Amino acid sequence: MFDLLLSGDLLGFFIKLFGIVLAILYLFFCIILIRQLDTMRKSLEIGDGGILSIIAYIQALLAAFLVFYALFIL
Amino acid sequence: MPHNIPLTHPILKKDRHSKYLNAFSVFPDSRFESQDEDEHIVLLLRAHPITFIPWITTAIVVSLIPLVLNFVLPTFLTISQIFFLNIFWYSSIITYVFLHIILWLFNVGIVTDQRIIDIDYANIIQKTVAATTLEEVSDVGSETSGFIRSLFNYGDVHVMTAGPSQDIDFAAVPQPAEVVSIINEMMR
Repeated sequence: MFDLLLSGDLLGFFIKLFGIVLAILYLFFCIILIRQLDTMRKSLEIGDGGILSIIAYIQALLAAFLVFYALFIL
Repeated sequence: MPHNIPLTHPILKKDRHSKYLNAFSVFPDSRFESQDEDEHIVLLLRAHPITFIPWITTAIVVSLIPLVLNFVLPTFLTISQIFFLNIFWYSSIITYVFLHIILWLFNVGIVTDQRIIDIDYANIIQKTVAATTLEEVSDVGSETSGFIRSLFNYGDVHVMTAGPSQDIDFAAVPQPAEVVSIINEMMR
């Protein structure tokens, strides 16, 4: 990340920093969503067959990919 | 104490059924957290699916933005950065849609043979539950105002209580007049 700063690519540095922060926040949000969804499903059984949880986990995986991408590829 | 379920009511005559994408479920096959063993759900109500239109429109419009920006961004950003922004943008839209679906599914009004319960989530971490027994209900009314609401037959149901319990509102539920009629019959 600091290579970008040393090379003088300030825009690239800020985009990477911005990307890392956004991706981590998104990952946190997805984890909270998974936990809250479990609580919601306990308070009301809606007979979704677990599809909502699967979608929530897919989102968390996507968020983890974004964190990885922001850290190592961006 | 369980009340008589007015099985002669036209809506309740049929067995278990649901309409409007499960926004109006009669004798649904669900359970809620504080449900007693001898308590039966008569109606499970959610907002009418027509209320999806604002957030679906927003999602569609917002998903079109990168299609335009992708022509401009290559001047300033690398392909790798544009790819990241696109993935982040679309995953945020998916989350936005998913969040609205979850909130719709779990924001419910429940009428059982003993109580009336309103479960409200303003967002995923803020939950409000209001409940009252049928004995405490003093008045039930509905409000359908506006062209769209009249056209699609949905509106608000207000349940006023005489006791210490707070009043209950079911917002934008389908067939509000029928809901009021069923609750009135159960109160007799």
